[in-house]
Parts: sequence; structure tokens; C-alpha cells
Amino acid sequence: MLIDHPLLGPRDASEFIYMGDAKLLNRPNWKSQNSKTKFLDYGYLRKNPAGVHKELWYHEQGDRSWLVVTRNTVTHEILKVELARDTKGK
Amino acid sequence: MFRLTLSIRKGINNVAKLDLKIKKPLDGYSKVINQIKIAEYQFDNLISLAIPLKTERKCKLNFKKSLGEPMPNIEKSIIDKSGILGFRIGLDLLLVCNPSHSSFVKKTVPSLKQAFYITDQTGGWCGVRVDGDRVIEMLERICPLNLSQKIFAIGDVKRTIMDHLNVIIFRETEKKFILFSPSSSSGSFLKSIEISSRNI
Repeated sequence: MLIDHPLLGPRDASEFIYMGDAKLLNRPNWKSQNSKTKFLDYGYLRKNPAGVHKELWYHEQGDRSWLVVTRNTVTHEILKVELARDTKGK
Repeated sequence: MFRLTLSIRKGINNVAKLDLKIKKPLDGYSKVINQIKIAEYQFDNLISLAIPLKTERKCKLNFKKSLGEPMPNIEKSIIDKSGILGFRIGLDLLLVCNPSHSSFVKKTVPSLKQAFYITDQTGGWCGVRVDGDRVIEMLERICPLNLSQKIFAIGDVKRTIMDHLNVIIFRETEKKFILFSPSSSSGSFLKSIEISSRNI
């Protein structure tokens, strides 16, 4: 599988580590009223869809960047690759 | 990695006389296999430069002042007048390799310290230079990168994985590369280069 890195071009998936659901970028506010429920959701609950999924990938054997990869988990087609720093909070 | 070899000789009046010699990770290895010259690339210093948050402009000015060359873009390199190599391997990370310039530690490093976070990684990396007409055939067996010159031009540097080991690969000429791998596994990496060279 090739991941088309936004800065470096297509790179082999063996250079990357899969780091889970991209929702981890949006950490809940601990001061909010129902923060306990939100943190339970943030820490443990995943939708795990069969289809389009936003994922975090870390380019460990490369430039050490964090990417948000939109991937179809059924076909493994990669639809979009962005730097995590550019997507945070969106 | 530098290993200091300590040998004790009997000196005058039973006082030990010590000899300290620097030993490189591959001990100056050099061999030709299938017309590919494989040789340890020896250097005196290798440091990493990390760009502190929101100070890229300051770092660019400092880099130019310290090394006389503009800070390279990502996956590009520079070579200064004295042969010092600068690699940009990430948005906020560079490596500077000093083959043998004597004033590097006293002048260049303190100057770079004014803008960058610096870590001495001299002992952490081992260099191997591979050179020859069939070098691309050899690398294709272990390197997942596209080695075509359109994608990987002369002077480009990339970090990747070869035989499960982390490697920084720098293209010096069309058929000459320097490969930096962790010194702790340099023996294993050299073995994979040798085997790949034999199998082309």
C-alpha cells in the first residue's frame, strides 16, 4: 500500500505506523459539564466503520510527521492524505 | 559509534601508560562486490538540529550565517565549502554531518546553538558509501523508495526503512549514495547490503 504524503510524495506503508482513529486529535475540554462522558467516548469508544474512515498514521521511518489518512476500510482505497497539524480542530 | 580502545602498557616506575585509539563501527570496512564498491563513510561529527516552534525564520538566518549556505528544503541537502553536509529530513529537523573539518565543534556548533536545539548523534549513526554501475540494482532489492532521478535527484536525502532498519539515504551522484544507519545495528545493515550486492 502506498500513502501519498502531502510533502514527500508516495511512500511505502511500511514506513508508517497506524495510530488509530483521527478523533484522537480532538481532545474534550476537561472543564465541560459532561467531561466524564466525553472522555469515556474519547478514550474507549470507536465507530470502527466498514467504509470511509479517518485515521492517524505516523511517519516513523520518515520525516516523523503525523498524517490524517481518509481510507476506505473495505477496499483499502486511500481517498485523502493531510498533515495532522493542518486538520487539527477542523 | 566511536569505540575507544584502551590498551595499558607498563610505563615508567609501574605507572600505567595509556593509549586511546578511536575505532569506527565498521572498522574502516571496504570491499567490492559485483562492481559495487561498499565502504564505510567516516565522519568526525553528526549533530541533529531541531527547529523550535515558530522560529523557522530565525533558524534560516542562523543556518546561512553558520554554514554559508541557505537552509535546505525538506528532503534536500547542502554542502558547504569545507565539505560539511546539511540534510533536512523533516519540517523541523535537520542533520549536519562534519567529515573532518577541525573548527566544527569550536565554531560552527556554538553558532548553530544560538537558534536550534542541538543533539550530538555522532555515536548513534554509521555511514556506508555505495558506489558503482549496478548500485541501483542492489538498492532496489532492499529500498522501498523510487530511485529514479526524476523523483530522487542528486543531492536529495530521504529517510526510509531497509530490511526493517531505519536508514537515511543521500544521493551524491547518479550512482553513488551514502547510507546512514543506526550504529548499534550497523553490522546487520552491512550484511544486508553485501547480500543484496551478491544477489543482483
